[in-house]
Parts: sequence; C-alpha cells; structure tokens
Amino acid sequence: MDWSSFIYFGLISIILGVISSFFCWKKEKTLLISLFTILQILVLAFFVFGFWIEIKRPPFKTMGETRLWFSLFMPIAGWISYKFWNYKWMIPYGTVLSTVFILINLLKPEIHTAELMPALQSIYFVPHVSIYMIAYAFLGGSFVLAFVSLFKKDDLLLKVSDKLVLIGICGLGIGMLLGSLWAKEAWGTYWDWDPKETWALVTFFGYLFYFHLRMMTHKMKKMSILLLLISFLALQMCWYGVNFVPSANKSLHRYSELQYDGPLIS
Amino acid sequence: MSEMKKFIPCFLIYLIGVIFQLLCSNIQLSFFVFPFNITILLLFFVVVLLCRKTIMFRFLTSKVAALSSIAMIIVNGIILGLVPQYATNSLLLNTAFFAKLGVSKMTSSWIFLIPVVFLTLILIALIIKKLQRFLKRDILFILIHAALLLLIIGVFWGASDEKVFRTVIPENGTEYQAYNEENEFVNLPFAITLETFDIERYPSGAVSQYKAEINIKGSRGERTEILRVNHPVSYQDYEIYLENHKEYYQKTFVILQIVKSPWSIVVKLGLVLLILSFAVIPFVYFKNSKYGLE
Repeated sequence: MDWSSFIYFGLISIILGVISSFFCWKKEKTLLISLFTILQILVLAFFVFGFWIEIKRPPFKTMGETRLWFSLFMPIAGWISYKFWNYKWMIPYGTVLSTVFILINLLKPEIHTAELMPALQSIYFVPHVSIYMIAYAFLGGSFVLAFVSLFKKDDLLLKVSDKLVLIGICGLGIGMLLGSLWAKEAWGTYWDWDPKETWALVTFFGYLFYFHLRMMTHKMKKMSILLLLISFLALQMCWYGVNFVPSANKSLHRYSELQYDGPLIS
Repeated sequence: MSEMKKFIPCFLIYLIGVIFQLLCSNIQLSFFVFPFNITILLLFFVVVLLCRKTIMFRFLTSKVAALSSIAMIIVNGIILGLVPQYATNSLLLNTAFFAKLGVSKMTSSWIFLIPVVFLTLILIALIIKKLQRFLKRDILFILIHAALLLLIIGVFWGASDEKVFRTVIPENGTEYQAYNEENEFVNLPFAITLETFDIERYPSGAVSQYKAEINIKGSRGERTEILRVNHPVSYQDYEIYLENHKEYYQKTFVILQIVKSPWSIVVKLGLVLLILSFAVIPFVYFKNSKYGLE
C-alpha cells in the first residue's frame, strides 16, 4: 500500500468522522457515534500499517509521517474522551484536527523512501516517536477544549482537559525520557540542550505547571485556560517550530533534511 | 492580588540568580567536581532535615514554591530555546550587557543554577515531608519526585565529573591519546586500534550502517568489538562512540568519542523509575478518583 492510495483512505476516514460527528448532535445515537468513530480509526490504522509494511521501515521519519500518526491518534483521543468521560464533543473536535492533518499530507506530500539512516536504527525509534504522537493528540484535544472554553462557560471542559493533559504529560514524559536513554546510546550524553530537547522540556513543564495548578486549586480558571493555550504553542515549537529558530542549524534532530554524506550520528 | 503576593519570595530567588550573574558572571562548571558536588548535596539534605520545623521547610513544601520552581524552569527553558548558545558571531549577544547576563552560555549561568538549587531543595523537602508521615497512597508521589531528584542529581550535579574525549584514528592505526574538552592531548588508559571501517549501503546508494572494527588493549585485557551508530562499546569505565569518518588522500579516518560518566547509573535509575511511574500514573488516577483528579 503506497502513498498514492492515501487519498482514498484519508477521504473515507474524513467522511466517517463527519458522520459520527453528525450523530453527536442527535440524542440517543450513542451506538452509532462509537461505530462510525471506530470505523474512522480502523480505516486510517489499516492504511498506516499497510504503509509501514510497504516502505519496510517504521513510518516515523518525516514530518508528513508524524502528521499521519497524529491524524490517527486524534480520533482515538476523541473516542476515549467520549467513552470513558462522557464528553462527546471531542469526537467532532478530533475529526476536525484529524481532517486538517490529512489534508496537509494530501496537499504537501513528502518523499517516503524505504531507507532508514543509521542514526534512526534503534529500539528507541518507534516507542520514542509513537508515544510522542499519542501525547500530542491528547494535548491537541486539551487545546481545543481550552479554545472552546474561551467562548463557552462549562466546568466539564476543564475537567476533561485535566484528564487529557494527564495522559499527555505521561506520554510527553515517557517519550522525552526514552529519547534521553536513546541520546546516551547515540551521542554519549543523556541531555544536550539541543533545540528540540529544550522545547520538549518547555512543553513538558508547561503542562506540568497546569497539572500542579489544577491539583492545588480549581479556581484561577482563566489562568488554567491560558496555560493550555500557551503550552500547546510550545508544543508546536517543539514539533516543527524549532526548524525556524536560529539555533536550530546545529540541531541533531534534523533527520529528514540530512544529506547522507553528512555527519554520521546526526 | 493577595494570591500574587505569596509569589514574591520566589521572584526574589530568581532575582538573586540574576544579581549573582551580574556580579560574578558565569560559573566554572569544573567547580562542582567530585567530591564537592556530593558535599553540597549532603549539605542540602542536612540543612533541610534540620529545618524540618521551620518556616523555610513549610515554604519549600508549599504550592507556591512548587509552581514557582516549575515556572523558573520554563523561563530558563525559553531563554535556552530562543537564544543561540555559544554563538560567537552574534553582535547583540556580544554586547557588554548580554555577555554579562550570560544568556548565551545559559547552562553555566547563575540564572540557571539558582533555580536548579531551588528545585533540588524543594524535592528533598517534599520527600522528607512525605516520609515523615508515611501514607500508602503517597507511594507514587514519593517515587516520582525521588526519581526526578535522582535525575537532577545525576544530570546536573554530576555533570562536572563527566569527561569527553575525541580521537582520530586512521585505518590500521593505533591511538592511546585523545583530546579532552580543553583541547589538551591526554593519555587514555587503553589503546585503540582501528582494524577495518565499512560503509554498508542500500541499493539506492544511501548509507544503511557504518561499522568500525576496533581492538582495545588495556589493563582489562584485549578485546575486539564492532562499533556502530547507536551501539557504543564500553571498556573499563569508558564508553566509546563512533562519531564520524573522513577520507584524506584515499585513507579512511574515524573520529571516536570517548566518554566517562561516573553518574550515568544514577541518571539511568532516575530515568527508568520516572518512565515506569509515568506508565502507571494514568491507571492509578483513573481507577480511583480519590487519588486526585475529581
């Protein structure tokens, strides 16, 4: 299953997401919401794993591939919010974000070669990136909820955010620390203040601040919402924004643009 | 507004860092070399233990202190993330004021050190507080904060004990010396011989793996190992990394990085404990609402 078939899987999953979102407005359609969301997830998951087999390496290398995972994990985060915390509006939000990332990938496809450079051949590669993408999806959900709560007063919004952020923090934490173990094997140091590492740390502590604040007090709602919005900005910085910062030229995390004759370990 | 007043001591703590930086400029990190780092840490433990019943202890274990120390890390992180580090060609950063402020050498700046000290003290105090009146439901809390403390001790307080060397070896050549971080050529406790260097390629020509076969000879005997990217070789207390390769006059040279990090085991323990805690937390929190969230 190569990249050219993504358009069919992508569009079908968007349509399924729109249908399940539509049922969120209807009462008493709980089964249909779950059914269509799961179908939406399965269609994307089928493509992702087919694509994985086709390119003969884990699809975590390029920005496009990380966007692919984000568009898969977003509806999953939505479905979990709905199923376990009875918050159905994450389903349409999840579909919107998933759609945006599918469309970006359709409009700006990247070359997906089968080769995996030596630096990425590590047992940490798949867990490091996949856990990060799961965390991004949950934190993306909390961003949407924070954004909605700017206009709508609803206590449930922040309460669901708390849960999304908790999963997000744990994901960011595991991803970052696995990265640290990997860095020791690859570069000889656990932490190097590489721009990507630095912004990952800022993002992590941004959400950690939100979490500690919410654990201590449920007042200061505006502050909490602001924290969610700003932390998500830091997350964008970490994900792709670092490429535009002056200090990024030296970043060890620029795999997709690297020349093969470049430094071995970068 | 009265809420904000409580944060004034923390602003002052951060300000102390800035003032110290302006007065004394950057710290020599070699200052914290063993056994000085251990002494400082022990001193921290003793001071916090002795102050158990004072207002200082109450402050260190307060919500305000916890939030402030996180905020300080965020502020320092943003500075580190925006200001190019060790940039020599930036006019702005080389102006007297910014040079003095040390933001382009952030990790050796007082602005960076003081929040790390603050966080270390907070973590010690929190663990002591929770152990004093031990409750079963605090296990995860203690575990995660203790793991973070281990991590900070290993990564930050142990940083000065880490030694990094680089050496260049031609194919079939032997080397027993290396450059340290001060660019001095020093003797290694072993000799490394580069037997062969291979580049494996995909059918397209892209590199799939670099392989250097090396022979290490020292007081622990002789060993032949294959170095690859992501697969360092350890010998005695040293880790040997394949860092780069160069071709000069049809001869292959490899650049090896040799690292001695005595605190590595502390860091690894902290990392593994933290990863495990993060993996468990969602289950604990969602299983029983008593544990915090709603």
